[in-house]
Amino acid sequence: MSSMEALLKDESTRNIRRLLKVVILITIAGAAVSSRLFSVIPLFMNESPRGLSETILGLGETVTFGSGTGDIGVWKSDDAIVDPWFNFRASKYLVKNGFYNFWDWFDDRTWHPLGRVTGGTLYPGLMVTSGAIYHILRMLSMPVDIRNVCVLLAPAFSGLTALATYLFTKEMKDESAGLLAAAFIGIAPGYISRSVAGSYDNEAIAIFLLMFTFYLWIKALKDGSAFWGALCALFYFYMVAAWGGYVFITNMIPLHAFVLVLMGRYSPRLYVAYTSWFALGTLGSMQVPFVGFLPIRSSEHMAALGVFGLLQLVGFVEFVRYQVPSRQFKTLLKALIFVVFALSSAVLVLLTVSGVIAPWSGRFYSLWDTGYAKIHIPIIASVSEHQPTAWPAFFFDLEMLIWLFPAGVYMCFSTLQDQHVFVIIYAIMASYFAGVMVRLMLTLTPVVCVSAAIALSNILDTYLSIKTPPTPTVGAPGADERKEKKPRVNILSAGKDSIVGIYSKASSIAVIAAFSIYLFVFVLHCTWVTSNAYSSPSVVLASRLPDGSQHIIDDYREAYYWLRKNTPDNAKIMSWWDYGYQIGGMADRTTLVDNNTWNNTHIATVGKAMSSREEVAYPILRQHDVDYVLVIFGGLLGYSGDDINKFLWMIRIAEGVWPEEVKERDFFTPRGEYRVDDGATDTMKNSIMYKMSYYNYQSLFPAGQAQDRVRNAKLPAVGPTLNILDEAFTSENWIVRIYKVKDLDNLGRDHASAAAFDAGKKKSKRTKAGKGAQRKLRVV
Amino acid sequence: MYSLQNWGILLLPLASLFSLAPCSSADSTPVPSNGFTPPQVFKNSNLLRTIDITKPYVRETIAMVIDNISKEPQAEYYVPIPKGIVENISYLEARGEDGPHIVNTPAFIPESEMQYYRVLLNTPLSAGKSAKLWITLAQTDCLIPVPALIGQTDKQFLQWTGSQYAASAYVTEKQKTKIRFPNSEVPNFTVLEKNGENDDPTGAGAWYTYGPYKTVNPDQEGGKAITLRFEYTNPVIKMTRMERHIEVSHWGGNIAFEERYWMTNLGAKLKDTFSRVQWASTSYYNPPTSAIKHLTFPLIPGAQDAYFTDEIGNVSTSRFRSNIREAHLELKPRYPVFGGWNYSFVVGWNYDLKHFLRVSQDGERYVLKVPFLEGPKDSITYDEVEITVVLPEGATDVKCSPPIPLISEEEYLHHTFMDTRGRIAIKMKAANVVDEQHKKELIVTYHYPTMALYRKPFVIFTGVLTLFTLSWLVSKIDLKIGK
Repeated sequence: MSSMEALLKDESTRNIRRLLKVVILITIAGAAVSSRLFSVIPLFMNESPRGLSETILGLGETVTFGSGTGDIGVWKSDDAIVDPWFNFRASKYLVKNGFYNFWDWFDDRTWHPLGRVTGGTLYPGLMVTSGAIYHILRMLSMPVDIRNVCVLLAPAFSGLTALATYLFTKEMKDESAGLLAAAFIGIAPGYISRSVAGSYDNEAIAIFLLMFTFYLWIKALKDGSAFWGALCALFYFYMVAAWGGYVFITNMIPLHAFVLVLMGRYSPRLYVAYTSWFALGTLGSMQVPFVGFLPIRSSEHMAALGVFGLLQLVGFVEFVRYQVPSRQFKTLLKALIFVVFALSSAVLVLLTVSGVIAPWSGRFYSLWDTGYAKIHIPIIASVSEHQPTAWPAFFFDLEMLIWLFPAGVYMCFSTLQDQHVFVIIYAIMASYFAGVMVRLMLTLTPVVCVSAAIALSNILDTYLSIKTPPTPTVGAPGADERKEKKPRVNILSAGKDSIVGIYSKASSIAVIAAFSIYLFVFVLHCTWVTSNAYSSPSVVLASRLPDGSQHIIDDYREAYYWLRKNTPDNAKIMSWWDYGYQIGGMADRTTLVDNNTWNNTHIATVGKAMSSREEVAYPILRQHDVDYVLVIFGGLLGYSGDDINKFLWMIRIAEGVWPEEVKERDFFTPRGEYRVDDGATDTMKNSIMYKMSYYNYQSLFPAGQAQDRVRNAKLPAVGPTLNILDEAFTSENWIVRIYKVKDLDNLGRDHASAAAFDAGKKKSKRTKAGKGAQRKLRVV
Repeated sequence: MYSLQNWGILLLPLASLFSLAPCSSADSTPVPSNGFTPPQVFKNSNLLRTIDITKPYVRETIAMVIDNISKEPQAEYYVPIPKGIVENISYLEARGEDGPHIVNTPAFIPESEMQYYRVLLNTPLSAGKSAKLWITLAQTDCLIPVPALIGQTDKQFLQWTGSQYAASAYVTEKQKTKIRFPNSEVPNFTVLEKNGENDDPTGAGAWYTYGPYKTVNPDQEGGKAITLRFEYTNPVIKMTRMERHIEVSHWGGNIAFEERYWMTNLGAKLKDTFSRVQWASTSYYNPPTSAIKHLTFPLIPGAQDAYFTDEIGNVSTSRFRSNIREAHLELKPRYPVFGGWNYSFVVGWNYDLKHFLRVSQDGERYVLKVPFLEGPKDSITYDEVEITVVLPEGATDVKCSPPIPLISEEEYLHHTFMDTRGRIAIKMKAANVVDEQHKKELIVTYHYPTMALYRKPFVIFTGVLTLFTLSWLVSKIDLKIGK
């Protein structure tokens, strides 16, 4: 026992302990990285890439950016976020053309015919990071491709996140809690979901930056150090350059400072830390073109500015109070603070109303009112990531951490130092946001890991303690077992007043055993979630054949590669915006709209074309130089994330812009059903989306037996006819269907009559009568 | 496949081996062709030309008996090729009863209508004597699909246009031409006027014969044009570009191959657009099709870690079967490649180096023997081929003997895996290659001192040491402003 004590405490073994700590940390970080690699590799076991270096390359080739978010199997998410494809394309551009050209990049291959000033409308942090890594490795003449760097960036940064979480938690409690937190964040599914190999997204590096900035902030606050404050500002700048979610930091730190001031915990340390962070951080953030003058012009950033002003006032007051210890003067000063604060708030409101300061953005409103987006900005609501979180998702993503989390927060209350206030605020804010949007589960995960680690480490400290009680205050040791109930209440605050504890071996063994089991189950759960839910790239669907072997459905890439190889380089592809980045990245063709949904009208134009009759759609297609139209159809395979299921969003978004021409109501049957079978409305059946989805589909089945396996509907015996489009390519399982837009007719006829003429029919009166009948029906 | 005895022979008389190789001949004075007519010193007393159009290129074998009709021994035999065809000639080889002859390629002079290859006979033919001579050549890009557009399940027909007589610079006393088709479906062929009482051509099924013809003078050139149209049940595969990368690692004992292909189908294009319904329903019966459905790479047994990717990632539809006797890499492109469609892909694999490398007595001189090309089993042609051999860092005195004529050969330094000096790499370019060259071998010899092997560990050790020293120095700097 004493030798153990010596090993743990003695000065002479300090270096060994330090080494051990480093080894443990590296192991945790390594485990975090490798869990993300193995989560994806099993899908591609049938390939064995060569060597170690080639494993990386092979991985780069195999993983290929798909693991964005939506796993089809578990979440049935309606859209696959494919930002990785865009980020990858941008990184390629950066590496190829250098930084300054990247800055000035005008991308004419998206948003045709508008184009996009990409350099000024993205957060360059991710691309610059991978570009820098690429160049460093190249300098060491390692044969890496930018693709390899991009694929492995997220796992690598997750290792760093574990380190940052360790440092952060260490500031909260102690090193053992830090190690636990690092281990938790390393395998928590809520974070793995965004950082598996290939999910080359802003969040990949942002969570590391978030945690590290917070750590530096706490460090700066604790020491009152301008150095740490400046470092914090530096990483804040990096965060601004990397992710739009930097606003979270922009508001968290002022909020923390504000709460501290309200609690009467103003100190020169706070003043030094905050002002150095704010001044440098704001200046830094304004260097990012996409952010520009937002920090002084938009409402989201006003809190930071306000708290900065408040701190100056409070600082001034403190200073004066220190000089003039007069009671009345103090009251006067307090009134002064209040007046100035009220005045500046009024000015802020005035400026917002007059338009100098931009009001809250729509995305922000949707955080407060979950119904807001659905009414005002359907395009935001149409993303499944922006939906409110379902309850099981919390358990799914955090497992046991979710019930350790409140305990940890409670422990922060019990030792309420400045830094613990931060964790409490963070916990409250992040819990709310995670409840509002699935996507923000990501920001909740770190604080849950930290709190849970604090709680668990407290429990372990209490029960693993090898100390015997110093002075048994309550009778004989044997009495402790009977008195167990009372100490249990105080266990949680055991760190503060360490006079009570559980001394019997049996109880400590029971508790430790129980928690060991929980931890094992946690690991099992994380492994299961990672390997099942988050590992399949969304462009590849994997299924099992009856004999247990894996069958890969690779229709997306089949069709995209076909486009890439067999269409003219300047062909314009129209598809719903969800596939824009994929087409840009994999097919390397110009798209009309993509996942950067900055122009609602343009998206609505595509929605209108898709939901209109052929005669209406054709001029739209011609006006936008569309050569090919791409639709996703899951009817054959039962793949629910297809375009017919997303069709209502297209209609809604189009209706938002052209309420006269597109009406959602027309797509529902009189009984309010959304149908694709015989009972579908005429508007539905005549929309080119419906026609493109089901064109020729019935010929796969015996007559009259055509079946849509997603919507479980029996389709009409006679399939739709298409006059303005030619089927160009359909992938193996019909998931991707590509149509070529017909050229204008040589004789100036419209396509319908040209097709009728080719089919040998005369322009009969019956068709006219048919049209008339339709119109009559519509009037009724 | 690689018998060990060959290696011993290879090592000793390397110099003589180089001289044997037809391409590295010392005497490569270009054959003059502007207004040049070969001296009439030979006559072909008998000639049999066989034209094989079972592949997407045309192979011609001319077997003949040549007589020296001059007073002196003669060693230069000329083979005329019309100007328009010269660019399409993939190779032209000559062989006598005593082995292969050296062939000089013609100097391309655009004005001249007729270009001449010069065959240098191994032993000059004495006056009045006769000898046998075989000339084989392959001509690419000469088969065109007729009709150019077909339906998805229609039969594909190719058309070839050639000449009635074998082109010769000398008087030919007796000749005939045999044509071999891929199958017996030959809907159209040129019928010439009757040759005596025989039809011209004669034959049926997959073999047709034009001739025999009596004396033909060189000024008659090819005689009448003959056009043949025949069914071709396979896709017309053309690799517009192929890059082959061979990397030798002495540390890993590994030789890595990686090939990048840019493939296109030169067959008949689709009349209408591609119909998935039709494709799915017919592929059940697996009928012959003009689309490229799959490719099979027969590799040398022992290949490992094969992979198949393309520009957007791994292609999951490949199968690699490897055992002691055989190694097959079966690929299925992402989509069937119809006429006019393109596809590009990358394949690669590894071998144990010891099967390809031999070391000389002094232990520092190495000989590497690898296949020059290892393409798919299917008949294909290549437009451009670029082969790069990367030798280990520190290799010097590199000699390379490619089996076919090259357009260019350059040596450069390739940097990879923390190289400080760079590895010597040889880049060889060839054009217009056909799949018959697959089996030929590339031999590279180089000097690799033992010390070079320890260069890299030393460099890494020094690098890491420097890094630690620097970080130690940095950690000693005190940045505090005050206490």
